Amino acid sequence: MVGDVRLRIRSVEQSMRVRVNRVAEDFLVSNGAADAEVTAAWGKLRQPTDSTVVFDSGGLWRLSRELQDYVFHLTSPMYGALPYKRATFGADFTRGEVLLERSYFDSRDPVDTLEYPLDELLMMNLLALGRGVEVHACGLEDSNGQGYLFLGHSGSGKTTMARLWQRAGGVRVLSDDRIILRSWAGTTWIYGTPWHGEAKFARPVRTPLRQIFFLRHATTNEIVPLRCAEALARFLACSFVPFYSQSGLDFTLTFFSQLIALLPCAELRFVPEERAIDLVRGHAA
Amino acid sequence: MSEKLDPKTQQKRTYKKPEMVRVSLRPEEAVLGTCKSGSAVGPGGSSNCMPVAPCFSPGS
Repeated sequence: MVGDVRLRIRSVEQSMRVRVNRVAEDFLVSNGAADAEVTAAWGKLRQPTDSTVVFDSGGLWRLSRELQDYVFHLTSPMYGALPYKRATFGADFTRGEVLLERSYFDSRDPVDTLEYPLDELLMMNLLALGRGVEVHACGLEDSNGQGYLFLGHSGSGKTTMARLWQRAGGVRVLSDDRIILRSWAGTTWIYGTPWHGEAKFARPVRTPLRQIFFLRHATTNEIVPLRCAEALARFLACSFVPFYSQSGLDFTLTFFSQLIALLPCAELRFVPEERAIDLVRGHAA
Repeated sequence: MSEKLDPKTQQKRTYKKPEMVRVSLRPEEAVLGTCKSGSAVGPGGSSNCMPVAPCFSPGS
């Protein structure tokens, strides 16, 4: 369960055992109805025909539409153009089937069916259907229960920030790289995810969000308020959204707009030192 | 009978010149199109991580 979204994975093959990676094991739960169920099987995979491709990531995956279904083909340069995995989901992403190219796998080993990037792609689509948004951010809970969100691209200082706070003590770092945002009961919550950064912070917990900062390395510590339009643009640039889905983008923009109306956003220009934390805590007070 | 003006409309706001702010987007990160630092992609584990585009940098 990630972000209160439950995924159930099962093999339909006697010869296939499924597993999750070590970090995701901390997110396993044994109860509750699944929001999405995925089956795994061996298959003989082919490249998608170009006419069906609706989105090409330019890297590890391509998306096709086949009738109402979304079909992801995952490839690795190690194996050439033939996909090693094909994942088919219905329009609401609550049911899916993952086919694995048997010739690439040792069938004696358990298979990580939703191995990155498929796990995040599935979650991204489930969230965009009205549940929430995944963002590129470090998230943590201070000793007083205040949730802080520090957003930024790779290299902006998310892991640095996580380590600084951890060193200062009294905090729980939810993630140093990926945070899920969801709003319910009048509160926006930040959730830890298994998709950590270099410092490997990945906690399966949530906390109410109180402060939002976009990170920027600087020579002095400073908090600069952001206007709503800029905050919205920067949120979108630091989020994981299905760019091929108009309804998904509409939901995401509305979600961010409502969030920005409730909680002011600022740029945190910072030096990697404890005084940056004091500045943030003072700002919150 | 003269119409009274709303006091709020009498206060003119200071004009601020519109400014363009460029927000950078990193497509390869946004679409989950590359390996993530420290993660494996494809059958066989981390030794097989051979992304098309550069991996995310270890620092995040």
